[in-house]
Amino acid sequence: MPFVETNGINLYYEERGTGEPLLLIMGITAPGSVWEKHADYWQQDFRCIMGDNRGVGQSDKPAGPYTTAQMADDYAGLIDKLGLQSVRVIGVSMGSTIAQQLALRHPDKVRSLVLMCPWARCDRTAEAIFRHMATIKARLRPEEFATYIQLLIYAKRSWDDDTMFAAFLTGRQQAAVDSSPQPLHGLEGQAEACITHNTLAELPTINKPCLVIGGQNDIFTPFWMSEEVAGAIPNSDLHLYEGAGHAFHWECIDDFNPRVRDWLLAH
Amino acid sequence: MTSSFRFGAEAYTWFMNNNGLTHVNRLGHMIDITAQAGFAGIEPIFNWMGDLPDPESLAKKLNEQGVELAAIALALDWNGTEETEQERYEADRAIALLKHFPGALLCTVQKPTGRHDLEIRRQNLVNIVNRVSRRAVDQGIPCSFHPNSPHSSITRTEEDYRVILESLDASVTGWTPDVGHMINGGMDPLTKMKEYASLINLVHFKDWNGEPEFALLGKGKVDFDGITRWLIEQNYSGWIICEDEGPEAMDDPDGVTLHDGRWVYETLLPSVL
Repeated sequence: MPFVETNGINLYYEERGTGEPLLLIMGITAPGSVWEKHADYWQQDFRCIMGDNRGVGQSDKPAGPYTTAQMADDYAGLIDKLGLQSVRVIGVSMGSTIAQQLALRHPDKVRSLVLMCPWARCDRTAEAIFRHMATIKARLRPEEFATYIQLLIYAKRSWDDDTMFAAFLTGRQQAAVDSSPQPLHGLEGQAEACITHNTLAELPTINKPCLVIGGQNDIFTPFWMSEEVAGAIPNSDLHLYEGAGHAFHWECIDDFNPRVRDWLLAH
Repeated sequence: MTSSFRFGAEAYTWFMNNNGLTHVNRLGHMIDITAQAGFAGIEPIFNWMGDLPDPESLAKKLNEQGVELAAIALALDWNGTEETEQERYEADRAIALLKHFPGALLCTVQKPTGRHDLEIRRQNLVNIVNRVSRRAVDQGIPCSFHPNSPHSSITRTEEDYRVILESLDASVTGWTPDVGHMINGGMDPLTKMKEYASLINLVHFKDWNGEPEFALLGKGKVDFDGITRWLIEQNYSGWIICEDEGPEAMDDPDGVTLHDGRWVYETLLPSVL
């Protein structure tokens, strides 16, 4: 079990594949293993490094609140401990806010960025969603909480797809018996990091190539957030999948995986 | 400044003598002393309520003395991968009793039996506690898990706490920080309470002096002032149960409980409010 001590915590990480390093930073509530369907593909071209964020999985879960700056420093320490130089970084949802902070606070460690469904700052709706997640985590059964997350992240096209819907039902059942669930205080810490994240004023200083990518129908982190981030980072490309939600990366995986690989190979 | 929590007594103070044999069938008496001490509530031990075994007689006695049922401690082995048939039967009986006392908590406790096979047994314990608590919550009964610290307990150390508390299902159970057991396990109680604050829904006060373990409330090293002030700041509105296991409780549990009541209302509260 690989752990590094970084920024005062033990951070768990896994590696797959060979090639130049590609750091994958997952979103709120999810451990790094949730990158599986993407790492399966990208490992052919990159050495994929997947951490469990502070507050979830096998990493430490200290008392919160956390900040995205603090969580970025967690990964800066990981990069140092692995003896890496400048790495490509992909962050999804909360992971994309951490990736922004990594590029801002440790620019020498970042070669290029893929920011999936990012935000530069929360509006009232987003703040309410994150607070609500923490509130209902203590009140809903794990399978009910999983349903709420599914409602947030999947678009109509997925709900209407029999195969995807069957996977939703399975996911709820699995949540009910998960042997290492995210504890409430870990979610609270992460939610606070999401809410307090505000890098809009600093984003113009990021001089790395950046791909901002998301779903046009995202109701969790709406497309205006992606547009705001892409508009603020000078050297950025923007791609929004029509009809896709927050989970666009699974909903459009046949296009998403090679598109991101190609962009990374070029940047 | 004012406080929104209430204080109660734990029947374990009487249980200490002869593993409960000395004071068996004396819950009624314990309720009398609890009231005399000024406490608002009591936490009996399930299966040690022989003189008041049914909700009617228990309610009558509680009402007579103006004492509320704060919680019932359910202490079982829970050593398998799931409950045994007998364990499930006992838990369901406790749940059925608690249904008559809205708001009273089911306090789940594992009887210590050894630290062998630690990792798998921790996981099994959490699974069982989550399942029992789910059954209780489905009947409207709130639950709280109470770690302890005998050397044979798997809920003793800081790592035990991390693994177990971080796997509790917060939608069906909270946590009872027992401050004496925490310091006995090498932790600072207030630090640990702050770390897992969102889980706390019951608190047990017990003092400790390390000679070798527990002390009469107010005579040990637990920072009760700091802990109580923090609970006030948090607007904690649950119970604080005095589970005094000082050596004096062996011979004089009545006197200890009366002492605890005086200490709470005449010493502790004036110093923090």
